[in-house]
Amino acid sequence: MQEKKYWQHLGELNTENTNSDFKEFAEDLPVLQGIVEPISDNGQNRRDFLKTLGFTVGAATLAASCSIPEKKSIPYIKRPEDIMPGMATYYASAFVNNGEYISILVKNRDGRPIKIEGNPKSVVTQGGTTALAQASVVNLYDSKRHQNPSVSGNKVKWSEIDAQIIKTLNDLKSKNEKVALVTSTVISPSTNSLIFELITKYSNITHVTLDPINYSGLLDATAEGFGKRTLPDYQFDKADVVLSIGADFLATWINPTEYSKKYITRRKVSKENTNMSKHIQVESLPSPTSATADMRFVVSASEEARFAADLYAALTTGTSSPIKAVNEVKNELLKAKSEGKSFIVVNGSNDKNVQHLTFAINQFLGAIGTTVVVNRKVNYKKGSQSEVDVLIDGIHNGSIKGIICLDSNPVYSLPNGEKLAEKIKAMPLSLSFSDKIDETSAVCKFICPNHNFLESWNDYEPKEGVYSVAQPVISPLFNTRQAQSSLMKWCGIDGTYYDYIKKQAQSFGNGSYHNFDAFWEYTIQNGEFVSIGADLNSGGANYSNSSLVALVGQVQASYPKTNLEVKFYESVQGDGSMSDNPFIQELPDPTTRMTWDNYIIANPSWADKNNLTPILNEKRYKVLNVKINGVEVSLPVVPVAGVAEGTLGIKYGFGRTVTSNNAYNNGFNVYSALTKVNNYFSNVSKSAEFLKVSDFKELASVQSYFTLTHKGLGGEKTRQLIKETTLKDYKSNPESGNTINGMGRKEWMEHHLVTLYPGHDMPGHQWGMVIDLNSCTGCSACVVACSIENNVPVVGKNEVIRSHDMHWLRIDRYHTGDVNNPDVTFQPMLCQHCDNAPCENVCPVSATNHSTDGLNQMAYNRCIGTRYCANNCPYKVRRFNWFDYMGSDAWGSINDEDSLNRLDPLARMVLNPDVVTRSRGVIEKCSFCVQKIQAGKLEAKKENRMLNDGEIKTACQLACSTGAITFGDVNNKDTQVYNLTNDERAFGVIEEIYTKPSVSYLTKIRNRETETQA
Amino acid sequence: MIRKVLKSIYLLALILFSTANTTFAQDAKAGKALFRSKCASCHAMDKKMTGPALQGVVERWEAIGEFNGKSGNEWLKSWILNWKDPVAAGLPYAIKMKDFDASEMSIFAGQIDDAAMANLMEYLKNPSAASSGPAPVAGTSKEVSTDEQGTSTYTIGIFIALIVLLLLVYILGRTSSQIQKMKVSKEDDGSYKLKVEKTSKKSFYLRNSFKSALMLLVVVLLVYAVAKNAIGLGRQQGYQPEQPIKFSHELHAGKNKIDCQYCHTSAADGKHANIPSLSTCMNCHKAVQSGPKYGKTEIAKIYNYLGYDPATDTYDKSKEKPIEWIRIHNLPDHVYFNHAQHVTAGKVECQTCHGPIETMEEVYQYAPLSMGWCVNCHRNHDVQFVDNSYYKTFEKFHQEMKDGKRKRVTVSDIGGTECQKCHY
Repeated sequence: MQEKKYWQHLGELNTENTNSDFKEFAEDLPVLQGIVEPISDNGQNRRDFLKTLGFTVGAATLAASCSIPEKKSIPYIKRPEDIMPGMATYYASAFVNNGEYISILVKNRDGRPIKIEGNPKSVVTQGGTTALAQASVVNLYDSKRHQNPSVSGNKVKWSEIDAQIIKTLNDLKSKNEKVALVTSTVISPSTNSLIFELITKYSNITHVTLDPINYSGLLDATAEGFGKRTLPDYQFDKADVVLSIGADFLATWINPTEYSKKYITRRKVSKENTNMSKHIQVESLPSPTSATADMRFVVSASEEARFAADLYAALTTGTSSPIKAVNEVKNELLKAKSEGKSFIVVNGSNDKNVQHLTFAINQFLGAIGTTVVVNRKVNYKKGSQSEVDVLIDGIHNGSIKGIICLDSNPVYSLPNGEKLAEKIKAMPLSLSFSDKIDETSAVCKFICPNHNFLESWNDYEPKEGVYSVAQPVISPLFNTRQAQSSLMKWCGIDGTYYDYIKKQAQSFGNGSYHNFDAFWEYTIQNGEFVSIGADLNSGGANYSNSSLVALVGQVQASYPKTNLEVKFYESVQGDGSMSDNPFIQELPDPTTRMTWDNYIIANPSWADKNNLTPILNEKRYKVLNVKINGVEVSLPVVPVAGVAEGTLGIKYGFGRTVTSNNAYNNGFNVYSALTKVNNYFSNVSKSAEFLKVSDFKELASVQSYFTLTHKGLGGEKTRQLIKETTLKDYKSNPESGNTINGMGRKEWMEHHLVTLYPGHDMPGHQWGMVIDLNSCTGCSACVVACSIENNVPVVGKNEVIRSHDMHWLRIDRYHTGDVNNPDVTFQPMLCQHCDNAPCENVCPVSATNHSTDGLNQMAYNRCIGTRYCANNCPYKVRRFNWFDYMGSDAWGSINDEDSLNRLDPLARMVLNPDVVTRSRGVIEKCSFCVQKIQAGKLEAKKENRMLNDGEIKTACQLACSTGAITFGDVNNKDTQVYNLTNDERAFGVIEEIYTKPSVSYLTKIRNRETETQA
Repeated sequence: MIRKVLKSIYLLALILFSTANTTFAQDAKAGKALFRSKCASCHAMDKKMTGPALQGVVERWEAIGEFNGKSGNEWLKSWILNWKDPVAAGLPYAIKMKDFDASEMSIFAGQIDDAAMANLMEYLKNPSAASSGPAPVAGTSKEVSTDEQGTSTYTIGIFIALIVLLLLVYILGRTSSQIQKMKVSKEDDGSYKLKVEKTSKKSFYLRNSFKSALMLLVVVLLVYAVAKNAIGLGRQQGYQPEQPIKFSHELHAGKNKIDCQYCHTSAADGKHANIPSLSTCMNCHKAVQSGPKYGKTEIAKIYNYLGYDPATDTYDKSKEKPIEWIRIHNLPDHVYFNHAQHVTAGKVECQTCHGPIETMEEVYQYAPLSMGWCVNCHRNHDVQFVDNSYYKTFEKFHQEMKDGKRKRVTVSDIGGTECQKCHY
């Protein structure tokens, strides 16, 4: 069998020899400098050196003679009971972004929220988080938030603005002029009740629910087919076969955290449990979800949209389809159906008819009521296309005289935003509750800044029967007021919003508690109260639709195949509501490995044909001008393996024009090009026209450097960085796929490894980590979590272009197979804490060395910045501080070119006080969250007991929704990590060079017959 | 020539002796240092504290005479190391002293070796002998005392070798210069004669060799001074700022024997040993409205900060303001220090780092808080290896102890001197 070839970026694929375009280092190493070349050509010489030396000595002497700076220590007047200075406390709360609900715990240090973790007690998200949730804590400390209420840009008092707004509202009411209250999906029962009171008091107000990314098609299909307008309650854990048609349900679709948790229960394979689900993905653009899939079918954007129709027809009537994949999927499904398997089919389309047909397929496969359940209400999305249509028309024709925006940014997230902005500006009442500077608040007359969610009380009902209370974790930083309190004021309701929520909660009764107070405190402490059990997870209403046959034809006619099609998609960076978050901007998109910008993704051979080949090593990409739905778009083209030929993909969430920082305003706003197909905003373009190719543009890619070499020692062998197998092979041999040079891994290791170095004595703990490649979905929550926990700086676009990104944990993306439909595997790559570490041997000052508990330590203050270690690290996980990104140098910062406010004293409040910020000129890297290890050990010592397995969890592990990461003490044979490290699936990346990594990976298992995609 | 060499020897010796002087520490002085680091938290020479005043303690114990075949002096040493031993042996004086105070004396077995004990006894016998010269720095003092004998023999050896070498230099140098000055001249009779030329005498101080030696000396001293000062950058041992309230630890912790953790509650559980909140002060000072030294003035300051009126026993919240104490013990940002780790897990006495705090009218920084000082303690301090179940993880060491191969487990044995135990 020929060895599979894996590649990370196209440059690696397109060359005969894997290594000729391989770029291990971001820049050329100056090995010959000083030997055959002069040290420097900018005139630096010995005299300059002496001058610098003299200055340094002088400065040091001066500093020594200065008096000691006085530091103050200010105790509490009355110390709060549960706060101990220097110790973290955790409070349950909730992160809700446009209806997407995640129950969280907020880590508070000395009164400051500094980190967000998932709430493991939640029945909905079960401790999972997303990259957005992890990054959201940074928004609290944005000093460019709206800090005061203002009228026409002038700061006013709350009492003044209240009086003016009430007067305007009453004016409009007396004239019976229409006012729209535009919100994103509201899942708070109290807020809904307040909105109802507002509408009752001011009968001229109508409530419009606007979700930036619209799910109205699905909601309306449910309403028609089941008689209940709600999202279906998807039970991914109960499905033997998962078919997703363009739905990225593990990373972006509706509530990926909940779906990931359920889905992954059927993907964790062990010798005891091989009951793995089969995941088939049909799509035009690669997504994190498809990387996890067992079978992937590539169709064009229009084919993806009509796929459900063709598949339904094929399943029910046997009609063959022009789309080849339909027949293959049909055969797979029918085969599984004959075996009595259970199914779930999800569809990413926003077309109501397509969703009808998807329900019909589910019904045909017997999924309705078991995996696709419409029983309890699921509230994550409620947006309504018809309401939005009325809103848009009303604004344009001037019939709407007032707009109130709550958690909504219509100027950005609706087409023709500039026109809308003009009309809104002219309205007598334009009001935004936005706490952040955004496109809509920029044109509103009244700004009533809301609290940040970490400053607010709120209640949520993500699903019927699950009641959640979000508590504030910090007093408001600015002169803001919670939007709900404002609504109460204007409705003439007395009391605080907290009282209001509490009163609302009384409808839940006391649960099983003896009185309401006990119930209330329990709910706040735990974050969630579950009033209805799991019996709602199945059964419920049945689907009925009599016009399905007609819908097939209608859908097929709506999506004609053209030469050039465009699909709009969402990435883990979100829908734009958090684009003003530096951690989200710098988060590499898992499928493209790009940061800080928007671009068009395209099929590589299509790009080559159209003169769009990028220069990968220089990060320069050709710019394509294309007219989409009549809107001209000019964006650089990034060829990505697995994109359907002739289909282009553009991400939502970019093209912001008004944010707190110009650095966030980049790319193209997809919402501006949205157009309707079958009356719903469509993810697929109606028309796309190739205009021209213009010059190159630099993009901040992180894929084309710091790549691991496939080249073996002596260059004769290929290293296997990714190991995978099929479920069938795994069942017969658990070690299948886990080979080195064709030999079983364990056997090879026994025979080949010799070292000159003595081992390390580890008398107590030996920390180790296991990452399950089968569970990693590439969602990137861990990357953000790691950065926030460890004070890893955001460096900005220009620095990333110069290959200076600082992420301690990155998610490498590997392709294998056909470039048009490759298998994708994500491999989280962090410091491997090698027990035979190449970096340790080369440090001239022993700033990096090994600890007796197996950690590869990095002493920043000892580091003199030779970067030998980074160059000698085969995993390329060491990062060098080219600048004082964190302002930690005593002499102040010299670099703040992107003005990302890193040095803003308020922004620095989010820094973790247990982790030092690194200064310029030192190397840093993953520490296995040593601060958490030390804290865990101390807790055990204080309680006079041994450490429990799983007690210490790293930041990445905590953030992971799928439990892909296991951490613990490998020296202890009772731990999970010990068992997994010794599992047949476990391997170390390039362990054949005997680095003895402390991180093991478990082979990826795909549930299909063949090794490669058919 | 002879003068030249002699002078260089003299200069060199001067330098060496001036620096080496400190290595020849007197026993009593090292004993005092040990006393300050280990004993001073409970004992003073001239007054009764938690423990008895120790003036004349050696004489008192020697007066016991022989008991069980051991002299009084021996019994005192045994008491110092572990007071339970003489009590168990039934020594009447020990049994009497056992009940001197409600709090028991700490056990020092394994922490004070024979040499250190000798120094300590020397100091106890004659405390005034140690008073001349600067007090050694705490922490390092222990090193000096334990390695005393080794160091001095070593130094003497080096000195002898140095003298021998210098003599050699002198002899060889002399010979060589003599040879250089020799001149072979042809006599009239055709024979050759060796002549030693007489050179004009130049003053010793004007000679180039002297000048270069002087310059070298200056450079060496400068570099030494710079390096020494650079190491001390940011350190502030002895720092004693004036605080907003003249709070006396001597009165509260010393005389009134209030437990440290009554006020510094989070020292046992938290990262910081908190400065007590004002409400803690008011637990006592609602009743105690006047102090022995400053009368009502200092206590009134607390009331001021709280907005409390003692006459009417009412609080005015609007007048509340926190006290801005000046922080004395500062560590650099790149050091992680946790009080709970040391107080609860390590069972380290507060005084080990903070010095005889119960004798401080005004608090000063007692320890250098330098890395060397930290590491020294980590090398010498035993972890609670048997008492704390956490350490069961270290099966290897437990086995070694069982086999008798290991007597103690220090912090450094379990990795306590590794970089990432404090720097992350």
